Amino acid sequence: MSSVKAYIIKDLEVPPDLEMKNQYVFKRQRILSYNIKSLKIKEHLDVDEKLILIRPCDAIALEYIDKVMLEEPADPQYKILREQGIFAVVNCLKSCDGGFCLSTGGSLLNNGLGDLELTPLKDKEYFVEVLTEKGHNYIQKLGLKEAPKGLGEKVDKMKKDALGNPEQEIIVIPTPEQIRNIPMEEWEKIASGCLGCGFCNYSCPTCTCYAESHVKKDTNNFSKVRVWDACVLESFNLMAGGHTLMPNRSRRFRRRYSHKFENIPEQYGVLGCVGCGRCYKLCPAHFDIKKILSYLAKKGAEVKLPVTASQ
Amino acid sequence: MLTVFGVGEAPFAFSSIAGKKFQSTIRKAGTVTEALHKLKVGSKIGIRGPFGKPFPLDELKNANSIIIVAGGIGLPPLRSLIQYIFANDFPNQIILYGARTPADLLFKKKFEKWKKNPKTEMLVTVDNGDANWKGNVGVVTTLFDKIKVPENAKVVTVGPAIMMKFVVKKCLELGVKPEDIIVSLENRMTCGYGKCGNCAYGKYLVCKDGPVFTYEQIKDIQGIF
Repeated sequence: MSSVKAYIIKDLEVPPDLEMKNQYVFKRQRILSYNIKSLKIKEHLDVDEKLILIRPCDAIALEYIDKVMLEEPADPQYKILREQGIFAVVNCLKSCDGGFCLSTGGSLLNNGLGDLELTPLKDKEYFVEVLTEKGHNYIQKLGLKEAPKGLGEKVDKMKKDALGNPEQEIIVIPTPEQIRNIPMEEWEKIASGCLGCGFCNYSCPTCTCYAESHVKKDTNNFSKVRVWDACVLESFNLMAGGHTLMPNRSRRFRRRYSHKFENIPEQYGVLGCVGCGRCYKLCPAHFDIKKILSYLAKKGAEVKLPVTASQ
Repeated sequence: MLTVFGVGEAPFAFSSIAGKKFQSTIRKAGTVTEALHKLKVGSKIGIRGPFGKPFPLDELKNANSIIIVAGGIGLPPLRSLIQYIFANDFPNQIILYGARTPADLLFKKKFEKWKKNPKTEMLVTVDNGDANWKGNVGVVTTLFDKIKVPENAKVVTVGPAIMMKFVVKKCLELGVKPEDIIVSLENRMTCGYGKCGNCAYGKYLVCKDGPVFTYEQIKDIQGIF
């Protein structure tokens, strides 16, 4: 790495948990605006180049999001943001509370993802390594100061120390087969006490579902706006007349886990969870995903049900 | 997906064969449909699509016979299939249609024409009759007792989820194979092309992988069935 230039960047702050995903999968985003009289429609595809600070777990999640959102036909807004955004992955020098990224195949450190790799030096100050041409061009534009000689070795040591002593509990992640083996009664038991509020979805770096509304600006002008949606909410699947295919909370709870640990792995070959632990940190009912996963892995290995016909 | 400008967007099926023109039959049930009902002739609406997977026409054409089971507002999408069947050389078909009351029966004027087709047998029932109703009374599954289910028949059913659930159950009892039962699921949809996630049902997105599924595909999903 000594042959590659490194830089120092100052006055940056990693966004708090609930703002992380909002940097690239927006809480609220205008898709298009229109006038109901002229029926002139304007698509909103204008995205400025900007620096996006994420963690190594988010970078892994982003690879999955790309698979969904960039699959043709691609999501136009997301595609442009991915092209315009400079993704800087900030290494973790110690485990965060509740994180279990090592169990999901991740690491405290970035694994070559993103445009830049940042390692914290002191408060709001980072050592910058350039990973892509886009990252390089951005750094040139900022006119950043090159890192002093010898700092690279120091940073390497810090990274090595972090990997050597991650202080993180390792848990067993259930296999798709184990998830399938869990009977509905178990899910009812596990989901009991869930408020169905959606914070696990909102904080999840792999959740990208959204709802749309036509928002009134004035008498004739409206915007089609999308906002974060959450699959644990009853409204997520609710149709006109009150019909739904997912009639109760434990089934929705189960679907969330099935999606992350059964469907995504089988469809895309990656886990739908990157072990960030934010769904636990932000859950008002204190559902600990680590405990739930360990329990599911244990139960799923015990219970061997024949494939049941639907009741 | 139809947009009423200033109101919103919702998914609908074709109730006719779609060419340069198409029909959609829409019941007033929510915000968007209410706005659609208020539109005057000549009003402009937005259209995106078509999305998703249609009825397996080739498979149906090669089937031994077809049983079409419609419940209430489930008839319109099946009417497009019936039109297609009539316009092309399809095997014999039995049409079973149930609605809540005689007033809820759709396309009543077409029934006589459909019944006249030599390849067609059609039975209609209502859950609750009225003073003038002389036909069958009972849920749509009771009509299965009045027909002889042909061997190796393919069943296509569209209707409320609870109705399809019982149709599937009845068909399985009668020995129809899960892969020969074709259902069209309805779900909340926002984008129509597999991004928003609103229509997630098990591992499927109804907008992209459906709305037409075989029962074999969805039987292990712990949702409505």
